[in-house]
Amino acid sequence: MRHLVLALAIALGIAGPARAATVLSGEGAPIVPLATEDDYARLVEQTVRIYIVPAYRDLADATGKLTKAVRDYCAAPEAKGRETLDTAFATTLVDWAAVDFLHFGPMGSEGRYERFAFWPDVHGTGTRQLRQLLANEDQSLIAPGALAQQSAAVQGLPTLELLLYSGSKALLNDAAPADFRCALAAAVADNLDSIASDAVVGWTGEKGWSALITKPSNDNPVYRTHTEAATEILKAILTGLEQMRDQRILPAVGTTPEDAKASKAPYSRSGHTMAYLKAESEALQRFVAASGMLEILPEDQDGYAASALFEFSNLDDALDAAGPDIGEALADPKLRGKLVYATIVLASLRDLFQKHIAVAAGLSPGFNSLDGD
Amino acid sequence: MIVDRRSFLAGAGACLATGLAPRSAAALATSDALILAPTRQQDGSFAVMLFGESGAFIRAVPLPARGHDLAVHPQQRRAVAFARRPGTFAVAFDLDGRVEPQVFVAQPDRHFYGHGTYSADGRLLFATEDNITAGTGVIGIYDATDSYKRLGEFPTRGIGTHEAILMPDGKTLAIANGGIETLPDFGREMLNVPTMDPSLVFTDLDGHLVAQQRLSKDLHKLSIRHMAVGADGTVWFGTQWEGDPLETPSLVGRASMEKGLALVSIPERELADMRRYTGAVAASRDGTVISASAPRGGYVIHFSAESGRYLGRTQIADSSGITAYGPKSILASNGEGLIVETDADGAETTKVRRPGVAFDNHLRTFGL
Repeated sequence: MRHLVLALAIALGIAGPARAATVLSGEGAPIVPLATEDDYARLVEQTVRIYIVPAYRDLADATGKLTKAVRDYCAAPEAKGRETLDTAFATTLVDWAAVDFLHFGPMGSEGRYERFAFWPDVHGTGTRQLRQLLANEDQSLIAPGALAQQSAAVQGLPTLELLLYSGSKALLNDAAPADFRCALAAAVADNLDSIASDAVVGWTGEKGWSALITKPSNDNPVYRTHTEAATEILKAILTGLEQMRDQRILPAVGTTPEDAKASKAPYSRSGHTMAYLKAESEALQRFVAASGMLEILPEDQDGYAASALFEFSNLDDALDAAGPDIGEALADPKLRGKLVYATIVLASLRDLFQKHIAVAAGLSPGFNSLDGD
Repeated sequence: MIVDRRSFLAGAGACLATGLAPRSAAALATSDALILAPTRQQDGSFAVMLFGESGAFIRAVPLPARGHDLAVHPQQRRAVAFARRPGTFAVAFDLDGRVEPQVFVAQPDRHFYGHGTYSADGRLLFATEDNITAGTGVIGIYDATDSYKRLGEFPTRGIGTHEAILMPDGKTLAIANGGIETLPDFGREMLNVPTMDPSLVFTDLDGHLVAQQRLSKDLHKLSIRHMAVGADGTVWFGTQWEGDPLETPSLVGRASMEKGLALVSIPERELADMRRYTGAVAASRDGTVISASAPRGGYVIHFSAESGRYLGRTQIADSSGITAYGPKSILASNGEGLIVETDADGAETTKVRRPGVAFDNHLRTFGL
């Protein structure tokens, strides 16, 4: 019986994590992935070098400019500074969209991900806590590093958005912005900048995540094999597609036009929702391209690569057609329809990557491993 | 999710009407004990598959969407399959297929978390549920003698409740509050990692609190999710770690009503191989061996219930479903269509092999 089990284990690819196994995809002929550990090693190395590290550098660059823009504007609250600050906020959002589907790496430590952007904030915790902070004018919060000890809900982008854009006292709506609000906004921007810089440091350096993910081994605390590391890259794509649909768009479009609510879309107060969504779509495409994931599929499976590119262009078209303003898009049934269509494309892309591209790339995480409970 | 009960039952009925293949009927006649496994079928649909004790296939009970765990009646040949969170259906079925399955749905503003248990006399069914608006866990109470009419509920005193089991005294529920908040509107996204507060709660069957236990504060991102009871009545629990992957604590622990919660030690390499995640916890039938599945690592690991010591592990890819089988062995299922019997030495015997079928997170038996 033991022999039989061993034979079975080999046939099912249980023994030896590196070997390609024949996989039944559930439809048609079995797919035989051809990718090897070397292919996966290259995939991960490229993704980190071409995409991840530059993306966090861009983010840190954007948050650096943001801290300056907040201070400059508060020192001289005029039209030019207002525009610069709005642009700096929008740029930070766009650069955040480029990494907000990466839940692994240094952003997964010390609550950095949630502290950078506690979103969705389903109970309105950030709004409530910020109201208290503004009412109490507690100066100790403004000391360097003090905000990082506060609740994640008041440390990041959604809080800065409230401070800059929400209500008549918002910095960008007030000809004479209040000192405390300015100081708090600067503290939030500094906190964002410090988290983004930590992410860059965490990804680089001798013991950084670049080394962890590109040099898997039995002694590596996170990745044992290149296959496992490449699966992390695949999961990031799935996460991106899923969160864009489930968290960013669906709650806002609602189930009926009457149900639609711009306030449930990310960063709607600043008017940058659509820019954020488009940036996310564009980022996912660059991420996939950098990884070379679509190039390691067997030749007879490369129809899936073409399908992915086609669906991504459909996604771009749908987001473009919805127009630049989320409020207007949700109020107009025709434009809202474009967003609904975008969610359908996103679901189809997720299926494509999970059920077909993952299998053809030999990176199909098990049914239970991928999404257990 | 709203289940169209009529169309679903029509499908289920059609399936039942095809009857049993002769070999399956023979399997049923020679084996009263059953293995029950929620699955994803080759065509992408979902069903609970029933096998005889030795692994012969008997029948499949279709599910409207992905299932999770089952509550198996302590005496009668029936069971309830729960939707995976945040699903809202439960399917009650007769193990011998003599009665059409009955679908019941969570009440408005509640969804199932995927687990439940019968009372010792089998008259009540307890299900872990989410009060969606409040974002807090409840135990829904259903009348198993009256078409699973919902009788009421009580709070679990936590967020993200997952498994609830009946203690051997028949008077106490052990409830795992995973601490992770999710909302149906936002898919399966974890909404509160910075403020997670998992706990293990003991209540009586009316919901009165007996004890609420927590790990130390530095472990507040260790989500307590699944449980099994050892021979001495100790509750063992399995967790998943949502904190820094470079600082992963042990993923398995013990709870006693007097001493509270304590993690057991797992050798460094074996712990690293678990990838911060356990899928299920089970005790062998005599309660001396406790097992926890680690599907992301591809292992089921084993402990001595008496000493709490790590005993060994079985390598089985993508294995999550585990349940008591022999006196000192368990059954383990995986996403690649295998169900094997294994013990603490890692020896294994294949019971079921169904390529194309993915066995889901949990596995149960009846009559063993």
